[in-house]
Amino acid sequence: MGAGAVSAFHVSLRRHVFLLLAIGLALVMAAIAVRWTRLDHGPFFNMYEILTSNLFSLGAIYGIACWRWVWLRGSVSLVLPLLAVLATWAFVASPVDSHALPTYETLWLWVHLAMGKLFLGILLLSLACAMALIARSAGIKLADLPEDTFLESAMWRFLIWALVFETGMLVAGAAWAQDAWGRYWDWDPLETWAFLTWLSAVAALHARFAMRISDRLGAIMVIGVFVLAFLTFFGVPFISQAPHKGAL
Amino acid sequence: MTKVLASPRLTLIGLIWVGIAVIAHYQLPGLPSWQLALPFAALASNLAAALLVKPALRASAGLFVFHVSLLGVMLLAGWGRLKHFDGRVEVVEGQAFSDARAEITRYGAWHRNRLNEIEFIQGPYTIDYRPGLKRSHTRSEVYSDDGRAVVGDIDPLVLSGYRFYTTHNKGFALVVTWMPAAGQTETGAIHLPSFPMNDWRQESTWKPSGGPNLKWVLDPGIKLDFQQAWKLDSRQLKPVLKIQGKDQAIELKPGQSASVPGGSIRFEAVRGWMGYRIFYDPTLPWLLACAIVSVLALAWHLLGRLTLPKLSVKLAHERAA
Repeated sequence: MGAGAVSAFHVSLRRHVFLLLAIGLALVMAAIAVRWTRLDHGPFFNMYEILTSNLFSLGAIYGIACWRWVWLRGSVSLVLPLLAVLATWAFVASPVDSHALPTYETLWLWVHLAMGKLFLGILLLSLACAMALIARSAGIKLADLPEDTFLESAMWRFLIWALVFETGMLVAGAAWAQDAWGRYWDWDPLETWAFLTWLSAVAALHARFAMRISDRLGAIMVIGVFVLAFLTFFGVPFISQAPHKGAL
Repeated sequence: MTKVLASPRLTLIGLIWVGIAVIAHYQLPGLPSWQLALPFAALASNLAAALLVKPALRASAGLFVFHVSLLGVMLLAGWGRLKHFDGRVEVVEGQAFSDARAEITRYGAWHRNRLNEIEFIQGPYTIDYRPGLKRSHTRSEVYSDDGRAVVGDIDPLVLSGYRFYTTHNKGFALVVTWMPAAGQTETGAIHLPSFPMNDWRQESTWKPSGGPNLKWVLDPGIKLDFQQAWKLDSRQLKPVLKIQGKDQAIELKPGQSASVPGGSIRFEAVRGWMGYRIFYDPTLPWLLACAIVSVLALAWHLLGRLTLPKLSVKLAHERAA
């Protein structure tokens, strides 16, 4: 089988994978909408709601990015396992009804959430590039993706945009916290880990632009930033009663 | 010297130092605040020096404004910590706020306490509860020189820069008048534990001057079903005060009096008390403005100079073909 036939097979397979992703996202969106209507508040209070809303936003941002940038579609085998982990986790999480808090009735919350979703979604795109670079350095070809120089450049550009939205998330979150709990910053677990994530992204970008680190080290740093972000978004709410300690 | 201070390696060291300090602060909350302030100050110095000697930071207006506003955020946050005040107070319905009753939690070294200038009178409050004792909206009426205001949840009372936020901590107070056999009559409020958190022990002990040590128990006179939605409102109570002495047990309704050794007691009323968190930081609006400018400036810089990856690019298998 020639290179052209292999490519045609991959493209056909990918098309089916993306079709399944679109169907899955539509179902998650429907589930969120039904729950939202029934409980009369958005999905941001308990672990089940955090998982389902982020599963949707991550899948949607990745899907839109793949539609916009054709070259990114080759990363589907690297990204989908992560979404599958979230989907499985959401499936086993308790879907118990949550209770809306009056401190969540502010525009700052929506800005905070929108910025957070965009941050994690764009960071996922950066992660896809980073994982591809690491896989290639380990001898895996990944022929459906562009060359390393291009991937490296895309990885940093996505990370910078992720940083813009994470900064916006922290600012909007602080403004909300001031109104809700009478302090803009109190180093609660989520604030601490979100700040460490921001710090790691700044450190990675600074190392790249000021010190010219290698592609491989850069990719490892981006993966590190994503691990911290993942712990912030899903690890902290998993071990605490509410996304924010002060929220109860 | 400035060039050495502006070194990119120092920036990286500063970022790592801040990270370690944040983790230490998180794991060991008792650590002194300078332990956190020092690495931030070092990073701010590094950034200020870089802004002076690194032309690259001034090459783009967006990047320059981003870094300047980032420095502004650090300086304002530091200034805010030095000037800040954090405390709490319980104010009884119908009574004026008194700075003497405020409990200080933390305050900055440069804070000049002006709580004594604040005047407001606590009015009644209501709190909605959803089934399962889930707290919902709080509406607390207050009266100040600005007139009547309803505060609660995300709307604080702001007076002379001090921000008063309602908290989950609230309850009832027994307003009683002590009329001693010899001496002056005095009226005061006995605060009972937070309600409904401590609905099963609405009691306190207090010894009137020249009188016996007494236990004061409130029977709210209403049956609350926490599995249903309900509204906490002290005006809806049908209170009965039970006073327990050494050899005496008295039950009083509002307006009733009884004699005890050394004098007599009149039960005036049950009032609500609201617990407020007090917060003062003069930098808040500037800090928010500076932080928003930093985000917008970074986005502006990226929009002009750093577009996202190109739409079409040759894939590896295409290059191989």
